[in-house]
Amino acid sequence: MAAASSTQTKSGVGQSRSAGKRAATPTAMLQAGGGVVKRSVTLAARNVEAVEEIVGRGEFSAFVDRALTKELERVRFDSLLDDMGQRHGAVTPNERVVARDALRRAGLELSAQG
Amino acid sequence: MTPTKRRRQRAVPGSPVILDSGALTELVDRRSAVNAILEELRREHYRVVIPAVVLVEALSGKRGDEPINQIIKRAAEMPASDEQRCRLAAGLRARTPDASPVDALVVAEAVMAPAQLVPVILTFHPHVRAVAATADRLIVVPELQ
Repeated sequence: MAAASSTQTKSGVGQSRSAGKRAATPTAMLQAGGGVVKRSVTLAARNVEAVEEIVGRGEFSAFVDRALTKELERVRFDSLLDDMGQRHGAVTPNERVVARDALRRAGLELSAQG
Repeated sequence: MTPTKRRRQRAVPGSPVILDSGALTELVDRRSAVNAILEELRREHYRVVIPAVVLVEALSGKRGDEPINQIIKRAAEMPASDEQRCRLAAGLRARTPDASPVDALVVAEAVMAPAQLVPVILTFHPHVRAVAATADRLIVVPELQ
């Protein structure tokens, strides 16, 4: 396992000034706004090597930030669907067929298997 | 004129599924087509986007807002109506005068999506459908019942 460098910083917009100073690379997360924070994290060495091989060290943070964003979106979407399932009951196979049909009629080709 | 007549597009992971106030309310109030369609779009790796302006219609500022607030927390993005979006919405609304500014801003959010993505708008509102039908950008608006 490899550990990222450790620096203390708290989250919040108030950090954007120092974040700007630390912004050695034009990363996507900086462009997205809202400031940046530093965290010490432990990552599998093989993943770190693989990422650095793809994007280099300079864009490592941006790569990890994009991955975090996607994972957050996935978890939140799943959580939303779970909540709706608890509130109204699970979507039935028939409702799923109707939904897929509605999307297809609207012109959307679905790739996932029904 | 309706988006359903337009050419077919393959779902692209990372595309936005944009909810208007009607879709938000349906999600909270009752079991509807919105739930099942969201599940399907989840399987296609879509992301939930709720334009901030939608909150004007969806919320009341009272305790009853809590269920909708729970949904809002789960959105991937809640973009504000900046100048670019407002100008785009103004152009869209000029073609469909019956549409409200909120209707036009919901569609503008879809138009703003990167060109390689295939945005979907979930709405029960005919004016939103009408605005989407006038957009140069191809937008998917399924018939909800």
